[in-house]
Amino acid sequence: MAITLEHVGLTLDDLEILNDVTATINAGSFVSLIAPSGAGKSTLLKILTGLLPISTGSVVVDGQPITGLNTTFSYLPQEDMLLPWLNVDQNITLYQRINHQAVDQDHVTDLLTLFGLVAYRHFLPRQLSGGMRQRVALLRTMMNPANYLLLDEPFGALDAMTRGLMQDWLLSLPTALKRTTVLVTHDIEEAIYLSDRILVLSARPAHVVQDISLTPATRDREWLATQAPLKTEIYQLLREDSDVK
Amino acid sequence: MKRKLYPLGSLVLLLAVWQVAVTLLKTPAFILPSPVAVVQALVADASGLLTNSWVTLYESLIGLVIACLLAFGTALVMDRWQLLYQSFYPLLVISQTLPVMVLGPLLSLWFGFGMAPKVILVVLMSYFPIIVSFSEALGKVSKEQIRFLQTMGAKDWQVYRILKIPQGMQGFFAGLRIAATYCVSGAIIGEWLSAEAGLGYYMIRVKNGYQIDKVFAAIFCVIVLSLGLNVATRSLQKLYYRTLIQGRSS
Repeated sequence: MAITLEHVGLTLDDLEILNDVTATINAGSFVSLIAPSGAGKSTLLKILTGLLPISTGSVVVDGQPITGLNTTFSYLPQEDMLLPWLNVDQNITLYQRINHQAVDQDHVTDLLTLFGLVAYRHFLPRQLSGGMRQRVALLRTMMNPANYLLLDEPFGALDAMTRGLMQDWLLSLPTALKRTTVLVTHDIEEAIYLSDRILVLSARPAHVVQDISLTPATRDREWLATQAPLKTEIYQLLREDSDVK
Repeated sequence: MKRKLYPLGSLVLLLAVWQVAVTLLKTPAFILPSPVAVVQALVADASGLLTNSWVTLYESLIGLVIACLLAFGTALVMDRWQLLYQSFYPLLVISQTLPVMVLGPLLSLWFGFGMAPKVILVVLMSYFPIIVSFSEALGKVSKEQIRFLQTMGAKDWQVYRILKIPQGMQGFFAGLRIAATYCVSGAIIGEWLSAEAGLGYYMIRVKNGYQIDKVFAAIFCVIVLSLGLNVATRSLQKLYYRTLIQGRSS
């Protein structure tokens, strides 16, 4: 069980966005993609879901090549994509509704409790704060039973405090809920804090410039504070490649 | 509350100016009756006005419902099959430059003097604002959101049921509000051309008798009908979204 990207390249309208991206993401791992702004991090997730076709190379998931739109992944785009006329309960069970699957209400209630949303289950998205909306969107992503989670800057629109709380909360989720996850983020600290592995991509046309493994015994804010040298190293890597010097 | 009183105050002021002007200038009633005379005509011929208003409302409603169904269906078909959209939508937009009332005499010729030509005129006048507004709203649904649903396994019809129709209905109702005002005009024009009842017919009849106060009374009824349909449309929109939310939670 793995995602294998081999020499993936993408050119759109004569603009080379990805060039020779090669990486393997093993089952059960939490991998962050970090790159200078506009490098093509989100594009890579769109390629995995089949929303964008590749120009060269191959993408193979669990031995099957990805050739178009597929349901192999549970995808959380940058925008929360909550449907404004559906309440929290209905939004999080969208996958089940689409696929005509029975909804286990007890399980839903347990998850809503875990996500701190049980009191808001009948609320509409417009009645929720930004952090709560993101949790609803994340829970909707979790309700999709796909083996792989693709999270595209899920906390990007949140203020620093809320983002920190959301990161802590994401780490505290039970192991049973954790799946192979690919996180796109522009936040170096977030990548270090949450990931087993960080793939640093270059500026456009993007390719992997550094593959960093992280295996701390305990992952907490104190540990994160000791990672300043790594943060600087990644920052330097990104800076070298950034358009803004 | 105060804001609502401002237009009401303006209306009262305008009516007062009208009343004073007519009184001071001694304008003949067959040219311009005073507001008081219009109210007296309203009261005096209440039953006739009510009967004719009902006929006009009935024609308007039937035409409006048919226009809604046609616009809803054709907008969905055009949205689903873009070739049809590209082929017909520009024609629909261009066709809006044609004042539909000019077709009135032809409709009378083809469909006689019954209700049919009036209803067809109402349909033609109401169909375009609804289909244009609904089509545009359907076209504006975010492609990202559609693809997002597709990554969950949503089929075409599910994309419409779950996303496109609920979102596009904002445009549908915006068009319907305009159509609700047009439809009464459509029925009136139809009645001017050929009718045996209805406010349009009533207006022509009393105008020929120089009972201009009754013409104004009929105009007042037209305004009430248009406003009533507009308010009903807004209520229908609220009801739709309330039902949508409640229906999905059950």
